Amino acid sequence: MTLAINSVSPTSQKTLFDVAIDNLQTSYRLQPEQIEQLLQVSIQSLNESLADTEQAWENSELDKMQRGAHKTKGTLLGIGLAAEAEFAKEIENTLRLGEARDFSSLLDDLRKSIQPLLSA
Amino acid sequence: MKKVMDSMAESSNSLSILIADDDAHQRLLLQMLLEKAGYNLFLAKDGEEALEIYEANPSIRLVITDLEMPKMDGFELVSSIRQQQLRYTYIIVLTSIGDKTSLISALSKGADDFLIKPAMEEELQLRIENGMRLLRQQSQDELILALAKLSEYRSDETGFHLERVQFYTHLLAMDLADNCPELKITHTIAEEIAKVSPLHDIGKVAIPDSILHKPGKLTTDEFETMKSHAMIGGSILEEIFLKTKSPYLQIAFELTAYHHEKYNGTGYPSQLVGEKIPVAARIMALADVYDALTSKRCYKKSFTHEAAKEIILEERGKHFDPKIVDSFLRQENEWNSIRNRYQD
Repeated sequence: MTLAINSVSPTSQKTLFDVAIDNLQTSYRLQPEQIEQLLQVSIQSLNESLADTEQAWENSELDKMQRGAHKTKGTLLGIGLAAEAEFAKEIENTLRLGEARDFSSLLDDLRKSIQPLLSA
Repeated sequence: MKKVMDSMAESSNSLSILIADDDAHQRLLLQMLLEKAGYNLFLAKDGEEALEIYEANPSIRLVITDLEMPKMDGFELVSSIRQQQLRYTYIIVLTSIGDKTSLISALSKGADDFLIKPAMEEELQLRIENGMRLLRQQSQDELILALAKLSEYRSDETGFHLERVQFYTHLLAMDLADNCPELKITHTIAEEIAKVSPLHDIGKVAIPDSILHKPGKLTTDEFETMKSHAMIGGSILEEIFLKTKSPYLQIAFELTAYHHEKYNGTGYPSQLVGEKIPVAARIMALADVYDALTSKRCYKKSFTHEAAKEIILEERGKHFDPKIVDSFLRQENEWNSIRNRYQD
């Protein structure tokens, strides 16, 4: 997979990419090819951790689900997507506190918020 | 395992760092930032792999680890490294903002510092520099060991005697810190006892060769001269302690001057009794005797672990502090492993 960092993308996708790219450039002063590599790895990691979180919810494995949400949050924060990371954080914290919530809806919100990035 | 730098790079002067994180993004980001800064890197995707890499690469002096990882988490990794390290390893844990419980737990298991994710480049660099400052102090410890070895060269206690007693004193002191709070040994004091233990016989540098290497039995006068090594070594260290006021030198003085005292008051040089003998010296006494018993000398064969244990049990409350004998018994398997692993 090659990410077209400098090419035109759909609006929502471009927004997420732009935030991520800006963050990686300003925070870490990385080269464009390094940013591309990092984004590829992050997207792959997000796809895996979100799928793991959703699967864990389906299987009622709440510990595993909490770990998956934690990992998703970490990856999103790592590329500067703080607003999207809040969805994952809410899932993680709710599970940690043992509170009952509509996790299907929370997971849906999380997936929708980063879908343009996941399908890149 | 992905070994980033080859063995040639390993031998360069750069610090070798192990990164343990199951998040591929975080691992790659740290790799990019640290490679840019010129460090030698090793990467692991879980705690188990990290420990394997750490064990196989003694050049690793700094570890950056996530806490939540599969197979072996960061907490267990920190504990394992602390138990196995031959030289001090600086450990930085990666933590999420606001997760104080995990952070306190990691620090209590022996982590030195922490970084809140996502790690910022400047902060990362500053924290590594802090670690390097502490590691430079490690060279002082190496110097202590080198000085101690100088005195050992003159006696027949060669080979791994100093390393073994360092392990034995570490095991005893850490166990006593956990199980005998009345002894007031903190983990820091336990580390310091082990650190200075190689100095216990440094006073032997002042003993004439004719006595130190005498093949037969020593005369009464010669034995008195031989016994003076404890106070000679102790005095040298006490003098440096009075100049510097470094707490570890006080421990070094006590351990060196009084490690031949006996719990029942029949030892030397001061015939101290029971808990009047500094605890570091009581620990050193058992470690030194066990090592002497289980090591081969020109005048005797080495005793088995079981035979040495029997003698130590017989001396419980006579030569040795009962609490320290009990500590030895709690972990005798580890002692036996060290004895087998570090044979002369």
